[in-house]
Amino acid sequence: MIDGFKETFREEAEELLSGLEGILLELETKPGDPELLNAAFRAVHTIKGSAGMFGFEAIGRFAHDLENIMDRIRSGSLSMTKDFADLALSCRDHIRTLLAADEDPGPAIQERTGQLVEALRAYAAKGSRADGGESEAPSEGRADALTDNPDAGGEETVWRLSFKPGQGVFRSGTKVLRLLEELSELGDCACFPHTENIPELEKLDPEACLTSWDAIIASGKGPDAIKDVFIFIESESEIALEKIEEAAILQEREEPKKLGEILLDRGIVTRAAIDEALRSQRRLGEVLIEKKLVSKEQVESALVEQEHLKRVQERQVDTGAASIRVASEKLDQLVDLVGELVTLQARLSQTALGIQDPGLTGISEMFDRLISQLRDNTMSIRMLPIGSTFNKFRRVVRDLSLELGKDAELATEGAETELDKTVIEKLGDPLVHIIRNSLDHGIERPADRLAAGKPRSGTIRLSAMHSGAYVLIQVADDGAGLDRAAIKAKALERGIISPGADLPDQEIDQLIFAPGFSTAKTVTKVSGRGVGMDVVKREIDSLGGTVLLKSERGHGTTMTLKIPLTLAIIEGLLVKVADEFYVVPLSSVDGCIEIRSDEVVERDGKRIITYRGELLPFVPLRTWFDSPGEAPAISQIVIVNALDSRIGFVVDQVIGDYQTVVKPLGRLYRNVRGLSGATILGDGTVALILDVNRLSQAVKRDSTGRAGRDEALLDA
Amino acid sequence: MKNKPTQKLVAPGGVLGIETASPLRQELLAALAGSDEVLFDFSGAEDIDLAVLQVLYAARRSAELGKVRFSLMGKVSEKISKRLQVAGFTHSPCRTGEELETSLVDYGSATK
Repeated sequence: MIDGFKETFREEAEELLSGLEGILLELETKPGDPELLNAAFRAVHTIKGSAGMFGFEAIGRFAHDLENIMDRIRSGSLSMTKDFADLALSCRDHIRTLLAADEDPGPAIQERTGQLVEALRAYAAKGSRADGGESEAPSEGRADALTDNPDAGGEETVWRLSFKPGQGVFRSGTKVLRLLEELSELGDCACFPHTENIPELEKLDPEACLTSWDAIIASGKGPDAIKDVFIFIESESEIALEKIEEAAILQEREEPKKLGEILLDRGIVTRAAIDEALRSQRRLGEVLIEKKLVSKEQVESALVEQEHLKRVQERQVDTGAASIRVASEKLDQLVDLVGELVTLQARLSQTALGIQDPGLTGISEMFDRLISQLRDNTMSIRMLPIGSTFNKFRRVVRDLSLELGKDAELATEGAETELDKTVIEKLGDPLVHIIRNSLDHGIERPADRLAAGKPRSGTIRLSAMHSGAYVLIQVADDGAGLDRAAIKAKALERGIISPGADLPDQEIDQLIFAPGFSTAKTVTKVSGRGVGMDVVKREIDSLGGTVLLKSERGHGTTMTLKIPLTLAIIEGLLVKVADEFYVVPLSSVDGCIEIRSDEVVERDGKRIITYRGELLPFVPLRTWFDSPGEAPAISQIVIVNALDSRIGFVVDQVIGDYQTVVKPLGRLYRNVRGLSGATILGDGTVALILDVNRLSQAVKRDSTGRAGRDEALLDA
Repeated sequence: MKNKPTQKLVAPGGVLGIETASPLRQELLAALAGSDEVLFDFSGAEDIDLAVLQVLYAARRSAELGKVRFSLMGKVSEKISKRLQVAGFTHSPCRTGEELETSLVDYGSATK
């Protein structure tokens, strides 16, 4: 059980650390922003608290040191500088390391902890001197005195406030009702006024404040913020603030607080009086008023508190119900099961079609609709906004530009664009590679930029947007653009292209994706090892996506990744070649045409057809996959959009659209070119899923004789 | 022969703040002393502060003792309605004086 809690803590801490990174980076540009400072403090405070609770002592102690400094910064006794942002980011990284090391950090990690704690204390000492404070580093005890306030922010806590303004507050110009409005702005607040001291008009001093309040407030702002509301009349008023409970703990109570408990908490009645009143089997409030143990107002005020607590409790439950945390493996299992259902539905539908029973057909159709909704819903659960990964890239840009002596910033757009979580996870590394390359090769040094008439600071723009069944992710920089002459020279040197090859710009650009290719003159920590862009290409290919490159010398490079929304279930076009079935992803299909064997035109050894006025190459799949038998006299050509061009695949028969549950190919078939997976049809037959991009590339390469396969494909 | 019941209307305008409290008290005292019914009209009131609200509570208490009918009437501004609700004097928004009269916490029973 405790392991389950620890796992939850790890997940939550990871989320908090990810958020903290974004906040700290934002603080660099807005150093004094109180909301950001509070948010950073809350994140560290929560990590500290939870770490202690789940036995992650090292994290708890370390976070405590960081929290101390953060609290001093937000209270204004220390200033927020770029140095601290660096230090805080290093501390944030270290907490992750500690998290990964579990309860057993090795000596190297412990040493790093010591270094960072020293650095934190040195920062505090420096800050104190600079601010004219004490000249010595604050002792832990002193810092604790400033910060050890578990309710300073973050968690919602329910407070009971008793407020009795001094009689003279009107004369000092205080607008008491306005103060209560300020109080209500701090959280969910319920006030109960006591007016019993207001006499008849004849006896009233109209300039004396005779009203007092009991209030209940559920707020995450902490006691100081609440007391601050009354700061100007504090000396002449009676103000008592008492913590009732953490809102989260309140949620765990099965029943709301009883009236007796509230009156007891407030010290109005004794336990014995309550017990006695309860014995009379009548309403407690009525009995207590009757016995003159409490006043009517006191009971009414307690009832207001009870009602309010109930509301806070319900809200906590609602919040809990609005989102629940589920292990991602469970979601994967759910998707698998839905996949099985989709397959089974295909079988049911086929059987119903064969039996021709109207009743069964009706049921099958209804089932089909439901399964379709279930599939969409399940897939949507796995969708996450891509913005969750943007912080990581912001950090990459910040750290690398410092390291390379460049000035660059990351601008992001479309953070809300949603993608399947598996796709997002796999996108992280390729995007980091692309961004590192943009910074290292694209963005120029500040002096060069100024000389070229560009702003000193370069911009890398990371954007995401939906486009049909795909998401387009663009990384655009305003740097120097690709140096095609250098790329070509390097490719010649490496023997990737032959001397005298006349390549169009587009093909030269594609050379950067060749394995081991790099034009960097020196190998840096960042790039120049020729590892990167080929990995990017491979990763994106494995996601069923494509990479498009556009570059203009002197103006920058834009790399566009076209990624399918999901990898688990796709809409496909089922086709047949000989006795085998294939699925072409429907999102790539442009159209289908019939072709007679005598209509084929051959040009430069390539088979060509005319499609919508355009000459397109085509490939008979029968030949490509060495399927047995003769092609029928009339075949079908499925035209697909592959990368940036179109190509036709000749099949015997087009069967129709098909909801395809993607199953991975086994290790044995992993390297078969042109196939991305398999699926099971309604009758149990296996159909192979075409990877149209890789297939078309392989076909193109083979037909131009640059690589691999023999001329077989042209032997139709 | 019974005299015709007398009615007095008190209708202050603008912001009812601390500086209004004292003159308003005087006006209400006079009205309560010389009438069978005093009507307090909210229509012209833009805003209210605690000092004036206390005067209304006190007037209500005097009216109950003196067997005079003291009624609230007229349109209550949104600002006043919200202010009273936030401070806990009412539990829901009140748009008219009549609504306010039945909603004010611990305001007392209606005097007939």
